[in-house]
Amino acid sequence: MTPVRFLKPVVDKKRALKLAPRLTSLKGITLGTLWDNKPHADDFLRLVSEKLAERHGVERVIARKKTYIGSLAPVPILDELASTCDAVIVGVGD
Amino acid sequence: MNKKLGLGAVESPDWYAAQEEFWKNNWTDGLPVIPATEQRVTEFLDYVRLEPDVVIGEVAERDASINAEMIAVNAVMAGCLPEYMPILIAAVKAVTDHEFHFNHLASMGSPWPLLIVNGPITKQLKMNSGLYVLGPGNRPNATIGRAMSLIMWNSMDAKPGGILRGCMGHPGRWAFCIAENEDTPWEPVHVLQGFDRNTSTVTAFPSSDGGRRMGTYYREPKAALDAVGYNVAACEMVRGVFCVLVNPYLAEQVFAKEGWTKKAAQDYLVENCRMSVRDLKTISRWGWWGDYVAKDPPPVQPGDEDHYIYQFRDPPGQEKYTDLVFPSTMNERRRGVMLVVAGGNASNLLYILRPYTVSANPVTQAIEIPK
Repeated sequence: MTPVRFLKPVVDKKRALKLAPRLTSLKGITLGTLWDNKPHADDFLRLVSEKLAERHGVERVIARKKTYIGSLAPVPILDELASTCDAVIVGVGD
Repeated sequence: MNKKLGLGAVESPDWYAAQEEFWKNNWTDGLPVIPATEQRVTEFLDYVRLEPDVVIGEVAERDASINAEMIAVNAVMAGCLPEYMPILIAAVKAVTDHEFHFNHLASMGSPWPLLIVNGPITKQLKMNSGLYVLGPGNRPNATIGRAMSLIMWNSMDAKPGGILRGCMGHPGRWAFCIAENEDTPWEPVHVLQGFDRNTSTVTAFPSSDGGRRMGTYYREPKAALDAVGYNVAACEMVRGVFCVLVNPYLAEQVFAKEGWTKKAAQDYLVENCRMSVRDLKTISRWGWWGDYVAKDPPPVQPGDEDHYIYQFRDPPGQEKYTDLVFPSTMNERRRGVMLVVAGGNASNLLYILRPYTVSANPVTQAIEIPK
């Protein structure tokens, strides 16, 4: 047997960012939603927001949208959501 | 090369154990690879005179970058020769170009870039532009295409278990690279885009999953192009740049011989690709991006068969229907048909590749040949 030494094709990445602390309750919070601009995802987020308000006492919802699913959200929108919301729902929807 | 290689090394007891490492870690497309030794990777980097850490492409959305060493490692794994590196460097620049819009590759629609190589390098490397052009059998076509897949697999997480969410996958994902036949009177892809004929280029075309083969039995150029246009429009009537492979017999004997340049044929298709409202309703593309999604089909009305929607242009009176048929992101990107001469030299066959649905444009990048 001849040993084979070869290079890994991937970079060893360590998670650079820490996850935000998890919420223990949604009562009275400000919820952000970020629509990816795919059809009907706005309806879905609106429905989820309403249900979370009804069932879990979400106080206020700030709904924002991206220009396109494959693009990063504009920095001012990210800053606004980060500074005003206790939690934000993002996702991909059709 | 002066700097040290940056990727970590793995030692396996033998060649077979090395293969198991690739499968175990999801570093390969499912087929065996050539383990990239430090010596071989160094030879690849020396050929293009690049230090390993030189960044070739970046994608902000993925918080990721691809450097020369990553390209070399995956190129070795795919079975490339060092001489193929310049094409891969240019191809990575093309798919990470903002115009190409890398992030769409994760889509449910399973798009994958077709690499189209032009210029003198295609003959120097003996690439295939002829018989069985979309199939296996030619080393540079096969290994450059596979290297591109592995680079995206390992550097951008574009793989099952990673970011890919493709519903069906893409048969070209294994290896999707061709050369254009430049030995007909038709102008090559890169020349039509303003490059010198003696410059070598690679074009990354954002193809959707699958393709549509068709044959025209007509020899009158306009009738043949009308048949092509019908099939282009029937590819779900999306707006964007389509890619149509035209075999060299058709290009030369049907079109060029009758005075039709490639540009004239492309312009004719842009002018005439259309679909009747009746057909749009039949293929579920009438109001598909609006309120009709997931609802009952709209009824066919009298006159629908004579009411046409044009695919690549908006003639007077069509504006009110544009948003109904084409989503806004489709209207914002480039439109048209890119004809590419390729395939066997005696048939009536063409192959239509639809662009990814709503974003992404083809990007052509010059290949820098080391002197």
